Amino acid sequence: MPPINLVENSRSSTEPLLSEAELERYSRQLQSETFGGQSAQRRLRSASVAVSRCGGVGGTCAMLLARAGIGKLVLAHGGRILRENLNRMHLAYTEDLNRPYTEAFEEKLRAINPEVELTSIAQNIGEDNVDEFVSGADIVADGAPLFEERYSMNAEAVRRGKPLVSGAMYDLEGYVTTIVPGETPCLACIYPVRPDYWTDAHVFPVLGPISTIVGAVMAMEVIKLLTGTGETLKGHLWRIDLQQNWARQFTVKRRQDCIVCGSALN
Amino acid sequence: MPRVYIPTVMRKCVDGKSSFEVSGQTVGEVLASAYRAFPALAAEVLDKDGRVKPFIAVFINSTSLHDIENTARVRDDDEVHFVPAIAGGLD
Repeated sequence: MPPINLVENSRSSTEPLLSEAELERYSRQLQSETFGGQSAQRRLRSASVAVSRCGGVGGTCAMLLARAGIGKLVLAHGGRILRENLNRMHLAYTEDLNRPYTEAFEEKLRAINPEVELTSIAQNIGEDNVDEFVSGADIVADGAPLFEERYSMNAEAVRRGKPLVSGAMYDLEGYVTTIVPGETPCLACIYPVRPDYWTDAHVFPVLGPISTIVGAVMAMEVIKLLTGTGETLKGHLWRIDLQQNWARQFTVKRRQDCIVCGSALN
Repeated sequence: MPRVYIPTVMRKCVDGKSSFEVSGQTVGEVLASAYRAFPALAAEVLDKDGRVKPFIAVFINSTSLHDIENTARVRDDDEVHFVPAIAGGLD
C-alpha cells in the first residue's frame, strides 16, 4: 500500500477556523516561526494518533499531543496501574493505583484538553486488535515494552502505509526513529529479530527523565509529520544517553530483504 | 584513537566502561581491537559465525556497519556505537 501523505491529504482546508479559545490556548506555539501558524494548528486538530502503550514513553507522547491540540487520540493499554509505575507516568497519580490504565489516562487527558477526542482499547496490542488500533489513526506512536507488540504495530502500519514513530528506552538511554512505509526502513529493517535478552516487560530499569524525553521527541515527530515543518527522524535513529550527556543521530536504511516491508511494498 | 561507545546493557562485558579508545587503521581493525580487549563483548555482539547479531546495530559515526566496508579507513576522532534493540515503554 503506498504511504499516506499527511500534509497534502490534510483535512485542515475544510476545517473551521480556530476559535477564540483555541487561539488563546495555542497562542505560544502559534508564535513559533517554525511551527507553521494557524494552518498547522488546524492540521493537528484534524488528525488522529494511535498510542500504545501509554506509560512513561507513550503517555508522555499522548499528553504532549493533547496539549498541542491533536484532534483525536486512540489509546491502547491493558491492565491496572501499579505503584512501580508512578516514578515516570505523567497520566497516573497515587490515587489511581489499581485503576485500569486507560480509565485513568482518559481522565487526565480530558482534564488537560477536553477538546481532544479520546478512544481507548483496554488491552495491549496484539494480532487480534492491531487492525482496529491502526485503522482509526493517521499516525501510530509506539511506546510498547515488548517486541511482540512493537513488531505487530510495525507490520500493520507498513501494511496500511501509515507512519509510525517508535521510541524506546533502557535505564538512562533511549532512541527514536520515524518510519514512513515505502520511504524509510521499518522496525524490522533496523532490528529483524527480537533480542534474546528482552524476556518480559520488567527487564528494563527506568527513570522519569529518560522516558519523558523519548516520549517528548516522539510527540515532536508526530507534530512535524502532521504540519510538514522541521526535519524529522525519517531514515535516522536518534539516540540519547542521559548519563553521559550526549545524543547522536545514526542513518538507517531499508533492507530489500526485510520480511515486513521488503516484499509488501514491491 | 577511535572511541567505542557501549550501551548500559553491555557494560558488564567491558568492566563497566561507557566508552574506551581502541587502536586500528580500518573499521575491521578497530572492531577486532575492541573484541580482543574485551572477549565478553565479542561474545555478546557476535554469533557463532562471527557475524553481528541481528538485534544489535553497529554504527561508525552515523553510518551503519551494513553500509561501510571493513577496509574503510578510520580517523582518530571516529566513533563506534553499539546500539542494541530495546523496548522500554511501560509494562
